[in-house]
Amino acid sequence: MRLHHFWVMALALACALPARAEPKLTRLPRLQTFVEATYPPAEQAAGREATVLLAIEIGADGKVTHVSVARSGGADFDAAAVAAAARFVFQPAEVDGVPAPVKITYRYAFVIKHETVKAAPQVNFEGVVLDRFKKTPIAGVAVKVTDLGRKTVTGADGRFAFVDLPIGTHRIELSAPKLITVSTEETLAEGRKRTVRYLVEPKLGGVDEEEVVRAPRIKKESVETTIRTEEARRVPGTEGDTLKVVQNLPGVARAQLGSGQLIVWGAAPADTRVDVDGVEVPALYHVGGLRSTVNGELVRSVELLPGAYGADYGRGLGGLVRVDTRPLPERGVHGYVAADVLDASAMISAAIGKRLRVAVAARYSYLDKLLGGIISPKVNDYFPIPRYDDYQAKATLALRRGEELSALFLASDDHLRRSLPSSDPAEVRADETNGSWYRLMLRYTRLLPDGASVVATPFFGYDTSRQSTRFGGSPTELDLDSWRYGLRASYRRRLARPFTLSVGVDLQGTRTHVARSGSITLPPREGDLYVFGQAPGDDVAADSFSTHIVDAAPFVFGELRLGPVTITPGLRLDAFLIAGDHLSPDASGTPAIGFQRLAWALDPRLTVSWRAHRRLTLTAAVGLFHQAPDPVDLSAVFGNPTLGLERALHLTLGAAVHLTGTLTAEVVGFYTQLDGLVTRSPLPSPELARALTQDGIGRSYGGQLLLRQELWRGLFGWVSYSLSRSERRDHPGLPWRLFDYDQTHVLAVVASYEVRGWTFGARFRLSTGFPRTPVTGSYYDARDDRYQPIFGQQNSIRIPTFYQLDLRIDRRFVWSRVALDLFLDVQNVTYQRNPEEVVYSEDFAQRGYITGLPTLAVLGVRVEW
Amino acid sequence: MMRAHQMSLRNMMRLHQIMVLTALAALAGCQPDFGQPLSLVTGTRILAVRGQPAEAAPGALVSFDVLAASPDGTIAAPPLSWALCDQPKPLTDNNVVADACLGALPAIGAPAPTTITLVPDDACRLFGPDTPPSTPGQPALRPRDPDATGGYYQPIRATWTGTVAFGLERLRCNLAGASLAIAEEFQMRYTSNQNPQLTPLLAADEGQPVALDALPAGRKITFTVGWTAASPESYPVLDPASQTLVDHREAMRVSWFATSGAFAEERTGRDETDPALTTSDDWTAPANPGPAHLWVVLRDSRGGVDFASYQLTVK
Repeated sequence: MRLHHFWVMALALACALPARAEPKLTRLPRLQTFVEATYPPAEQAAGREATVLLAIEIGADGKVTHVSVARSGGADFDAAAVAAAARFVFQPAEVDGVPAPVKITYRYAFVIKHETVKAAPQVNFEGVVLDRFKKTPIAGVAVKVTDLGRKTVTGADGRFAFVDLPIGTHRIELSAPKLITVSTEETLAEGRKRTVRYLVEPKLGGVDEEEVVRAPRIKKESVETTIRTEEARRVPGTEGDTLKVVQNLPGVARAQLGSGQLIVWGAAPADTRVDVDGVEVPALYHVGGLRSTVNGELVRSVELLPGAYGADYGRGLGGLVRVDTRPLPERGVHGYVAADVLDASAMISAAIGKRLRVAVAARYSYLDKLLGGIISPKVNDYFPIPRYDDYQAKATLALRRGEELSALFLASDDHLRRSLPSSDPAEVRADETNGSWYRLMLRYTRLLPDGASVVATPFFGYDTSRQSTRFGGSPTELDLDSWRYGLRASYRRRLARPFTLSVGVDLQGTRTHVARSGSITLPPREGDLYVFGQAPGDDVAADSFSTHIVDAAPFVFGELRLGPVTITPGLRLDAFLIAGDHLSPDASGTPAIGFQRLAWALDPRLTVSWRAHRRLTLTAAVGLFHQAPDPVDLSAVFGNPTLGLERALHLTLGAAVHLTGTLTAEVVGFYTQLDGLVTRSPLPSPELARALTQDGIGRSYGGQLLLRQELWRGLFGWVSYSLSRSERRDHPGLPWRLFDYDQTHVLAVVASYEVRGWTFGARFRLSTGFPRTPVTGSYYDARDDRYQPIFGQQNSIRIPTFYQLDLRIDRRFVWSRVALDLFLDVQNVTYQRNPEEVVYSEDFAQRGYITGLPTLAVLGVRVEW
Repeated sequence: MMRAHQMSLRNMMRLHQIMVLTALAALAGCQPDFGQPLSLVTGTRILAVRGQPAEAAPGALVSFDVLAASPDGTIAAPPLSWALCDQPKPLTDNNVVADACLGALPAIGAPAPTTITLVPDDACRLFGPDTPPSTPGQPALRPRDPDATGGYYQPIRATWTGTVAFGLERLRCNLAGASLAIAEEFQMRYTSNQNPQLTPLLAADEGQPVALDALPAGRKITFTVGWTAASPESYPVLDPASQTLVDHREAMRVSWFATSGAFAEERTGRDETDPALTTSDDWTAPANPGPAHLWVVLRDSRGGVDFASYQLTVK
């Protein structure tokens, strides 16, 4: 037991003042020396408490001249209180600016408080700071409890400790000149000592300023894979491109050569969303998949959420790729220049004063020019090399502590042109595509004193694309221009110790003008029956129309921690306004009739995780997802202006085991159910403006395994394996068929090892081939002198299994503040001739395969400072 | 929301994927070798189906004949089973006829090398722009789209010894989706397609004319074939985007077939902007002397056909 005393200075002064005219108290007396009263032993033993109200007379010198009991608390208590108060010393009060005697009342409380008795001050918060990669202790790291202003420094063993920190949540900051500053929050409970282990990263050339341990955020996702940029850059086969690592993560099917598509958990590529700092962008990769559209040096992390993600994101039936840009360096001028056989890129960042940081980056491809000087133009006609460029700018302004405003500009361009000459006018082919997109976003973030946070991101963008394809006398044109705008805003606050709540709104609008002409079957849709190289249908049509789709989606989600169980419920309400200017095809002399309708979608999401053991966490999640129709599909000629929302239900069940501090195994099962899918009308003569219907349903199910070694003593890598099946049924009554992008098995083994400036990497991939529809016969089309295929059961055969080994060697030289990287990325080192597509002889009597590229070596150099 | 551009990019990606795969197919070693080209006649085949006239309105009589070939030469009177297709293909089918037209169809008379038949009265409704009959009270149905020449076609099937070939008779239907003034102008300016007419085949060895019955063995022979000046006809097409009539000229294509040797190209021709009236192809004569058969089939872009057979002698 320990005696606690409470004393309160009474506000009411009973002044014994000299008889003077209107004297004025100009300063209150102030207790300078407090003497603790002795708790009467008998009363303490009896467990009695009391309060004694004293009247204390203070002299002009501040000494107590007299103490009396104004209200008794008991004789023993009165005596003890009077004895102690008599020894108080005050700074004297002043009347009219002159020290003067005063009389005050003082309440002395005798309280017995039960608590753990300690013999000495106790450590209630301690830990160790380790190098994240080497797992070695780091000495000299300043560990600061910022809200208390207390600070300590790690010792030679990397350890630190704090004594008697107040109970509650504190903000912790770790900093050292050569380390990335780390901020996090820790909650101290009464009677418990908190022991932590912090993994911090050294700054790379002083460039990185990365917040690795974030303020606790609500973990809404049941399945997510996050890859650090520095690891991603070293994965073989990515040619040093950070974001290309996504293609090797579990749940992602291998994209066909030259496609660059993201096929996640059996979803169509267009159904997976890509977000950069919370703003949706059209594509993660440039056309052809050679490069990502966002400079990897601006990227802090890339997360793949294959399904059942939180309520703050939506509008997609498939997965979500979330790219976070990194904070810019707080000091100095940094940058890099890199070049390889594909392209060249550069970035420079600078801190201007203490508050403003800016960066610009650009990339430009020249593979077409490089090869153009080597190979004949005819080969370039056959083998079109995509041209691409992208550029970015970012500025960050620190407004005040915990408050920041940043602006990010993203731009991406793609160009592709090819002509296949032929002596036959009907076989001349010409293709040209040009696409660009731009995004400008502002991001306001503020961390409030109570730990709450506010993020608001308004954005504006423009997308444009021009596609032209001519197959003989059948031209196809598809031009799109889209203006985009939106706002993502959220507020997060811990309402109670076990419960954190986030609310926000996700607003996005798209105004699109579409001009399309040519064959209705070009470009092909998922589910179309065709064989590679087959001429499109020669029926042609044309349409020109505009649409405006606005989705306002308020969302709310929370995190409730109940011991080892964490429950994360969420709710998202999407209000889609779908409008267009053509409800039916243009009829000569008849004014067009537009349309406008509102479609509501209520998407509940729920994730439950149970930490069954300190190394084992089980997770289950479920969620509904809705997706607005593609504006192109709202054509009254090629599509259907009355299309509504497509819907998906995601279910996942998973377990994660931390085998060691850096080795993790995760296994996840998933099931996705889709309905309202847009499919082609099977009728020879569908109703007017109903070339597309929404009769399709689908399902995907399977499991994935990830065994991941985070960077440890120079080694990192993972083994990912996915087993899945994805099916579609286009119309009621039709049998289920395999999804065009279904891949039963996808295996990726990635490993990288760094030693003495050298990094050696290897990647092995194996994947089942895509399904294809066999051709069982043919007939002769005498008008066109061409054989036409007769198809068997849809998607009942597959392209043979793909497997490939890639290697990478990276050499890093460091001179003071400059580092030089040389790398050689060799793909398909075993010269495996992987089938990429099924082809047939002209009369469809024989079947064969187009094989992929032979061994491909990419040499690159990178200088950073 | 983002799907328009996503789809656009997806289309670009898919297009690029097709381009890359096409390129791979074009590069040596990346595509399978399927052996003999179709220009080499190694079995009994139908090489062309010709309708006379080349374009007809519903209710009109049309005669059809074929060019049938075998390694022994032209088959003069193949006993063909003829049938008119009575089912339009699905709107989004790449093929030229519906699967139903591959099944049982009412035959047009007994098997014969030629046939004469009426173009069905409902041809422009089934295969043309006339709105198909819809159920009363139900929304109107979608008219069929024309091809790039503004044409609609009635398929006719010729079957012989397991070989199935479809001829496509161009239909003279009303102009759909146009104002009355445009439709009237179209009716005035449009003339039905006529079958083109081949001119005699010429052969040359390094620019020097050679007789067809004295072709040097193993040499590269240049065959040149032409067509009459009236063959590539001009015709108006309604541009649905601008709602105007745009004049086009027929492109001409020639398909080359032989029982031996090897053609440099299986088909040659002139596009609609090329006024030339001839086209050439190189043929490498077989190394061994002997007889050979050669066929040329001339097609215009509106479905008109002409063909010719030649007896060659390689010495």
